[in-house]
Amino acid sequence: MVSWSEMARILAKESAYRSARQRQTIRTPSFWRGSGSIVQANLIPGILCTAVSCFLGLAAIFASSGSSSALPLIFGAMGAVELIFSLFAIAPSTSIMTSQRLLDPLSYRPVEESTLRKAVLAASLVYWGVGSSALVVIPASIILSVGLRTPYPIVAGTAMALTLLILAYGVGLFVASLAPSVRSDPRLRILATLAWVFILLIGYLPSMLNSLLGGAVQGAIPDLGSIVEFIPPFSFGALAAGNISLAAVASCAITLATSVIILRYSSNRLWSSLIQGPATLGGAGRLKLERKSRWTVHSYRTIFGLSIKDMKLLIRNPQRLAIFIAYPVIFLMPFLVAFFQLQGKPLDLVSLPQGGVILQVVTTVVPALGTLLGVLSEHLFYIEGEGARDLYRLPVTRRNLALSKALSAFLGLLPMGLIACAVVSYVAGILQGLTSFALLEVNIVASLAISSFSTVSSLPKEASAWSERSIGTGRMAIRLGLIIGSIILAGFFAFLAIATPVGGMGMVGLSAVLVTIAAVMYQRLRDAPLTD
Amino acid sequence: MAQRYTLKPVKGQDLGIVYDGISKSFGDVLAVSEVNLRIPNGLLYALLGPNGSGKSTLMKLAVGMLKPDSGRILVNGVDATLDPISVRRSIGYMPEEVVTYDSLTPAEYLSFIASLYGMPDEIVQSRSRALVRLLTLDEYMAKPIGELSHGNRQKVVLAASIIHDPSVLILDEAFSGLDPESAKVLKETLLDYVSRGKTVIISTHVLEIAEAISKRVAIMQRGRLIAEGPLDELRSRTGAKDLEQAFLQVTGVSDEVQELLEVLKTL
Repeated sequence: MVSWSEMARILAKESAYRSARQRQTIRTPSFWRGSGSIVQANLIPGILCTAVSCFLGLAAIFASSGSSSALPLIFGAMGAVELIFSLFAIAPSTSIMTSQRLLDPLSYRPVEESTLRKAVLAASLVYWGVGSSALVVIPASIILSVGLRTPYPIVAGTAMALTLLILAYGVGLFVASLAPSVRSDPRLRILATLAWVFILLIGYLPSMLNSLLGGAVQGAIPDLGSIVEFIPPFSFGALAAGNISLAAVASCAITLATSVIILRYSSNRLWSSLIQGPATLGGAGRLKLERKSRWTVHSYRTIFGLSIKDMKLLIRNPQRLAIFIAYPVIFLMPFLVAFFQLQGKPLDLVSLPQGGVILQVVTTVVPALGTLLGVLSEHLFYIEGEGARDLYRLPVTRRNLALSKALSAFLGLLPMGLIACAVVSYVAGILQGLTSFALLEVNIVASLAISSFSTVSSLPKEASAWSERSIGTGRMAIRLGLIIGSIILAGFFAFLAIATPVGGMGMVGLSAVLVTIAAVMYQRLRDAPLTD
Repeated sequence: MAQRYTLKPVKGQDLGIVYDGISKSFGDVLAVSEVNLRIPNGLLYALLGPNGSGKSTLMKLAVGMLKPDSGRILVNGVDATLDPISVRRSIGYMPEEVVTYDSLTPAEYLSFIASLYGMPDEIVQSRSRALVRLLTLDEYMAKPIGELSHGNRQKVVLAASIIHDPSVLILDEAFSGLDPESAKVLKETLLDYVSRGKTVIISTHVLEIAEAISKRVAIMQRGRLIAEGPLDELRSRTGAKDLEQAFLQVTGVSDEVQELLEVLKTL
């Protein structure tokens, strides 16, 4: 008789394998993907979370200088980190169980339903490092208790860690219950894409925490007054600070109760999804009027046909689409935002003494950054998934494939280019805006082509090897080389443009070099099928 | 050890596919060994054999998905190793595993396939409408392929493999998972293809289907071609009353099956 714990281990291992196959990405280490033992699965995430927690705890002690007034904000930040860590671990892994219907082979075996439920919940909780996310809060709470010589932080911290773990677990299971419907429900796809964009942009969280702690050191923490007593997770911080008010206790208790209710609801929903089929956002049982399907089939030129297919796959893949939204934001927005912040009224820029230089920097850096976006074309190879087998049996050549990927990625990045053009036009005039836009787009196209040509050259010759070898460690080295090369090239020409008499022609030089490299690679790329 | 049967070669016909001394290994495993086959145009040819006998490998070699270790393959006179793109343009291939782009709808998938073959738009539209009606796919055309049943997915892939009206059609286990109505439609479609002088190769484990629609068969075992020729001749040579009996006799499975059944009875 197989125990629920053994079944949980098998489910976790299988979902790890399916996840790796589905994402077609580099093989993640066993400790992160749940294929090892419970200790293996939690050891590294546990160490990471403890390290983050110790850092936050010590920084908070240093920041507060013996005072507990900063604790609500510190607890708020730690709570946010714990929620993000645990959600990031639980939602994708459990979604695999529902979208790939992992319980189907067990559903007709002589296994008690309660055993299966336990196995599913345990697999989600202990084999993906989810449980260890509580360590983001607990060690810091201990440090704060010792440092401030009061038991409140450790009690409130433990309560918050467990409450937020329950909440994240519930939300994660809810997301997983909807996962199978993401493919067919546009509303869910939009939500999932936004969630992924949020996850990708949390890289800014450390800088936010840094500002927060920096503000605490300088005594510049905003006075939130009694509001913190009502709002979780700040209310846990209020308790940690020894503010045992009715409002704070009630807020914490309500948060705990709500988290338990969400978890119960979500686990039932997840179970229905696993056993009965996909759940929907609007709830089951709603009468749907059958519409006669409308469809047309069209033929395009080969590269456009491939590209249209890529675009459709991309917009239906929230994780990859989020990358195409988040990366341009990461690359471009800080410059544009800083540009506005530094200059005040943008239209006065050119009249400022230093305006000319800053204008030159921005109009130089914006096109130069285009070279760094080339690696995005690689994601369009990942979205092929198992469908990539078609590329090996159909009349597709490496050249066509590479060009179509570059074209698709270019179209995906075009909105970002137009935004950049609009902003630069606004602050520096239409001519400068159009020049920057043209150079940016040329650089993007050339760098996307370079990346596509190098990726397509390293694809496996046999369809069955697509997931194993196409994005292996060798490819990672090439990718890293491309990124470093892009930075060096962009930096060199940006320096030429800003610091030498060459001026703006430096940027034209960058585009010329990129286009030349792309043209040479295109010539060298064999117009042969992937099997050759 | 199975006996090797050598039957009459094909004479006086244009050859759709020629396997000339083909061998293919995967590591230490010899998947196809010294296969010589001449498959004429206007013929429905059945490739038979137990699991792992090399049928799918032989088909993938003709599509240029795999390269032979030795020998050469000609499809309509074009070497599949030297010019696989030209060969693929003239072939319609349906793989055994129905794996494709799950998030595309069948209509989008057919558009993608038609684009790769450079088909004129008006022909694509008329052929796709006809195929969708033939395979009763109309109500599924706007749904993601990943949400379709196995049988409907198979029909979509089948439609994609014949939308460009290929001169050579290679179907690997195309009948498995199809409902009786669709199986009948497929049989008639294949016979229509052959009547128009095109070449059709099928692999199947359903010997009744092979017997009903094919005129010539090849039987493979452990990568080797152990029998090849007209169906009638195979039956008469082996003295079997039907293809199943002939198959079991040729592959030497009959006696083994009886022995194993006896063992099972004692357990």
